[in-house]
Amino acid sequence: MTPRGDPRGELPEDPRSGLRVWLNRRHVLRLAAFGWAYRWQALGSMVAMLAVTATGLTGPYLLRLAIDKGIAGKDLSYLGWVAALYLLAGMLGAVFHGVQTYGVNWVGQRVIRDLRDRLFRHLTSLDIDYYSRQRAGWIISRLTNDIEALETLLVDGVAQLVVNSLTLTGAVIILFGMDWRLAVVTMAVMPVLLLGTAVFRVKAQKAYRRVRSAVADVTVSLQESLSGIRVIQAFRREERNMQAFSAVNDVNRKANLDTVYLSGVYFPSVEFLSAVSTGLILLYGGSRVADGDLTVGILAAFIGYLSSFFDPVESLSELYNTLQSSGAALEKIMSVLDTEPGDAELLGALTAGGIAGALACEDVSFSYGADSEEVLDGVTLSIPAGQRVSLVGPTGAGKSTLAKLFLRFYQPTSGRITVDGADLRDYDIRDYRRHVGYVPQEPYLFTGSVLDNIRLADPQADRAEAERPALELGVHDLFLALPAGYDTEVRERGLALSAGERQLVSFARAFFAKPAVLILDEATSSVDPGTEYRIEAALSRLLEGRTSLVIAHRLSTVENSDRILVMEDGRIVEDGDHHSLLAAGGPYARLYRSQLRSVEGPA
Amino acid sequence: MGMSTFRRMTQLFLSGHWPGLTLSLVLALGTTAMGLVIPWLVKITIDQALVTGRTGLLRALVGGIVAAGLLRMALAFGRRVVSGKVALKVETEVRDRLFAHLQTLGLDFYLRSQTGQLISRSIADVRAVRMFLGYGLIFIVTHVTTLVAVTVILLVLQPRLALLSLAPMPLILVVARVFSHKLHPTLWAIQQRVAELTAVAEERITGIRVIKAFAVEDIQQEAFAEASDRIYRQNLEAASIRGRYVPLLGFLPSLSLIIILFYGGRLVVLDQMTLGSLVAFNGYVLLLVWPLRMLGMLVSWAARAIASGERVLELLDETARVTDRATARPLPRVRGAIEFHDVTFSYGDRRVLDGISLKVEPGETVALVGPTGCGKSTLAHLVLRFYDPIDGTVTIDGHDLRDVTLASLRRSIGLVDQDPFLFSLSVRDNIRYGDPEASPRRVEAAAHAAAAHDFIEALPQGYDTVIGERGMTLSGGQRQRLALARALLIDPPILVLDDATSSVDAETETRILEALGGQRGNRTSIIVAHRPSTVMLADRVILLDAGRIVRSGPPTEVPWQQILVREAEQALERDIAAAHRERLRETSL
Ligand SMILES: Nc1ncnc2c1ncn2[C@@H]1O[C@H](COP(=O)(O)OP(=O)(O)OP(=O)(O)O)[C@@H](O)[C@H]1O
Ligand SMILES: Nc1ncnc2c1ncn2[C@@H]1O[C@H](COP(=O)(O)OP(=O)(O)OP(=O)(O)O)[C@@H](O)[C@H]1O
Ligand SMILES: [Mg+2]
Ligand SMILES: [Mg+2]
Repeated sequence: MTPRGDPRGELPEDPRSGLRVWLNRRHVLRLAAFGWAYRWQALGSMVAMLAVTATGLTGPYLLRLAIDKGIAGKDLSYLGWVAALYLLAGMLGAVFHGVQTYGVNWVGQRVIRDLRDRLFRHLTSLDIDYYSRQRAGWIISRLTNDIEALETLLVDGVAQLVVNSLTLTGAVIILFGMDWRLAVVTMAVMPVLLLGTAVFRVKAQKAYRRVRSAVADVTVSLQESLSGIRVIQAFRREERNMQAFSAVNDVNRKANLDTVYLSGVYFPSVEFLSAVSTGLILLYGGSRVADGDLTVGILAAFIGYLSSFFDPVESLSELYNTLQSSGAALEKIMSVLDTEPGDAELLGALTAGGIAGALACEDVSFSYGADSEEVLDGVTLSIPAGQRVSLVGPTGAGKSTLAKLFLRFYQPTSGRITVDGADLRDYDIRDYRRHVGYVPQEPYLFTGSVLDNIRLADPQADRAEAERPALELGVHDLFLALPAGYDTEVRERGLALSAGERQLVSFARAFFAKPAVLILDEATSSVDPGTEYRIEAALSRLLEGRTSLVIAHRLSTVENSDRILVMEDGRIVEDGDHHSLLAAGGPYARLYRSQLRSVEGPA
Repeated sequence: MGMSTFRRMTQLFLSGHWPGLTLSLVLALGTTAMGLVIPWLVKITIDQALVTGRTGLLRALVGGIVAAGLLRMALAFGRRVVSGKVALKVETEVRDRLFAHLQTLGLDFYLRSQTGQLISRSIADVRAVRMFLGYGLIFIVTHVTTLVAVTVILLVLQPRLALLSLAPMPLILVVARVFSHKLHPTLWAIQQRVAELTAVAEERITGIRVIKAFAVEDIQQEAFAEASDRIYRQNLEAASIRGRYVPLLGFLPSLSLIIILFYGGRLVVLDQMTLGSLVAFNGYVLLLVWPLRMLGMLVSWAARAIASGERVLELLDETARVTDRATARPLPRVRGAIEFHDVTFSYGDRRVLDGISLKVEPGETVALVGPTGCGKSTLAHLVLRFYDPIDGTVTIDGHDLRDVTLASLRRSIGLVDQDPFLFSLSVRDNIRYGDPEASPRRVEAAAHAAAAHDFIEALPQGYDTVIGERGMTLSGGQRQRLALARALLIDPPILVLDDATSSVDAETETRILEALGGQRGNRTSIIVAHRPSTVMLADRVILLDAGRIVRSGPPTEVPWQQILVREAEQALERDIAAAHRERLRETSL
């Protein structure tokens, strides 16, 4: 069983996450695995970084040589040479800097791209249940905002980390080399720094997590408001909606503000420590100078190098921000990657090539959540291959649910569904679905042309192939009548088409792949009687030799089928053909009469 | 382009924040100054206290250093907090403003734009603007100040050497300019690619059920990977520009040092300058080098902010086609006479309504029927003024819709759209969407009228059950009935039902229709329908075809179904049909 919960809420957080340190080691390793493919390029960039650091260090040295030997020694040609070397070092440094910039981007952006692709691939492998619980905006936020946060780390952060660590290490070595006691004094502030950093880390981690979920909330709110704009405007909710958005937006601001306060305290404190350290050196060093134990020269040099020590410390602590923020983002991304696809999406071994399409339910029960009622309640049913079956029943009876179980969007809570006698669980689910044509109750179209939407299953199919289903359905001329015919852009969710046209596209799409089994869920609910007539006329021919489950409320659609199932409250209550059911005088006859009556006019 | 955007950004986004910005600037300059004071104090300490061995002075100076450090800490804290606050405030305001603006834009705008694009601009681009306005601006100002100050000092100190050592400056400025010009378009493109990817992702995620049903995960993954790769390549292009210019900008200032070394060294050797002043001079020029080196980064920063700012401004510059006129009045008490006077409407070039004249009496129920795509929903939408007609007028009680306020107009109309959109709120909040203060009693009454009460009661938490995004956890008929209840709750004098019972069974439909008929009172209703049962409810049926009214009359007298079916038969019979069959034969070979 897949875990189910509040349809709205976020998936529960990992209970251990509160104990995690920033940048969970396992996460970092997994991230590093993405970079492994580019290890040589990464190594190359690293070498470039070393070279940049090295050439950067030669500058001051050359300057010293020029002053000490060239100028003081009044040797003009020496001076010229040194200047030339200086120029050369600068140029080399620039070249390496360029290589480093490009290389780091090359690797970092590739890793980001791969991670993003992987995340999306994983998302598409998750089951429908996940999507009913997780809001679209939340998922989008993972794919965009969190990835962006990580990009900052990989592209700017890593280079800074390496260069600064190198410089820091160099500085420490030099300091200790010059005078170890003075160096120890310099390091005296270290414990304070480390302690402060630890405190900062804990607080910042929480703050950055809040930022990640706040920005996701903003995305969720935005996404829903933008998709529902027509209702919002029709019901004049602009004002209130604005307030609601402002509220989430402000939570986001406050979450960010927390990080501002934290870094506002932390970074200036690090700078202050460097001033304290300078003071300590002067005091201690000064007393030793007074004792004649130390030369002023060494002390001056020491202070000079101090900046090579504290500057990287400062940069590294600035980097800490990036690390924290990316750490929180990485955590969210990994939580998605760690979500199991759910057993509905497991790929079994059975392939569906050449299936005949005999469908059966054996005592199937189903509920959408552990705490919700049973939607299907012991459905047993067998549909021989090639039969045209209609499924009717009051709204909310569970018709669409049964259809979704046949597509294995969900697994039965108990009982089993078989296809050609084999348990549906054992099929390679994607392969199986390719052999099932499905018209969902809500047609969903993607940005693109009518043609692209019809040939969704095979974008490479040629025009004639993609026009075939509409021809067969007898609605070809309706598509031709669109402004650009089949090339008409339908826009996001098919907004540039009428509802009936959308449904026709969705219908044609189902027939495009010549499926063995067809599941039509209210597939003609939004078309006019004329269009329905055309489709009806075509269906008897089209459904020949195919198993079909046709869900319909308009009983005119139903009469022609081989067999009619009536569903009520998750149970099949009647089973037979039109005439026998009418004669039986049960629920079907009642439904039928009520439809006739309403045509004659309500009382 | 860049500059004017920049000016507009500062005008539009920063108004009201100048005190904060100025304060943070002052604090930033103070911090920088303290940063300069500390080395100076150190120098004095070494020169005067250590060399002379005066411990009292040493203590005092060290105290000074620590005090300066403390002051710098306080100033830096202030700077960070003030500028961070301002920046976040600006970001929040800009996003709020963008959101408010987006809500006023009409359906024509939403047709053109993809949700993901809008999300990306409202979040990522606004964030980029914040980064810049909050921190970048201050950095630029402090750096420019340092630059100018140091230049002046140098010129005063040693004009000739200063001029010489500053010789590379113009070159640096030119390079920086070229750099920003080259970088700007690629950064714009990156933001655009990111927005495109967001759009791809948004559509795939909301359409996941279809993707799964057709087992086209692979194809969609490819589409995503392509969008993802475009971002990558665009980023790489930016990296190659940065890789060329940033190091160059870092290197050019070194030329100054070399010039000083070489030329100044000569002067010293030739005894025209002391070694001391050369060293001092070198020290000052070093102060210049740092801000100059930062130039590259600042330029990228600014370029990105301007690119993002442009994208945000572009949205803010979209004007709503349908807005209140300055002279618009609220619609007075509505009787419900709706009239179309020779109304023509097109989506772009596509003429959808072609000279429609129609008069609906107060209290009348009119059914609109007609073939798929003939313009029924469009006609219904014109009543809510989602669009304005291209020609002709729509009036309610004789008031041209363009002369009344949108709010008062829409308050008078209850709409049930053809594909009902529900929000991920509780059932209750969805029903009282048009009037959040509605009492539970009214909510239930509306639910009863829409034949929804029973199923709602059966939900796990009844009226408090939170439904999934777009109402995905409900059945089709349940969604439709909630949408109906939502429209009925506001008890509108005018009701527009666009195929509002297409997903409910006959029995439920009868119940709904009876309820509607019962509480009709003097409500004017426009009902778009495909089912005879619904049409029978109407006083009059209007048959549309290709954007024109072709028949109208009482439902019992207009054989609209027969007409539609006959037309369909004819269409099937027509020669085209034969030609199709011909092609059919070809394609199935
Ligand atoms: N994703 C879901 N999560 C929880 N409950 C659901 C979900 N989808 C449907 N339900 C519930 O299951 C029941 C059956 O829904 P189903 O969509 O199968 O009905 P239906 O027979 O197709 O109705 P209609 O004719 O209105 O489309 C309904 O009560 C509905 O609220
Ligand atoms: N936003 C749009 N942009 C461009 N064309 C549109 C747009 N909306 C609808 N159309 C086109 O205008 C025509 C009329 O659409 P409309 O939605 O009014 O039809 P309808 O009569 O309601 O059809 P149905 O019965 O299918 O709901 C259709 O052919 C459709 O393709
Ligand atoms: Mg259904
Ligand atoms: Mg319509």
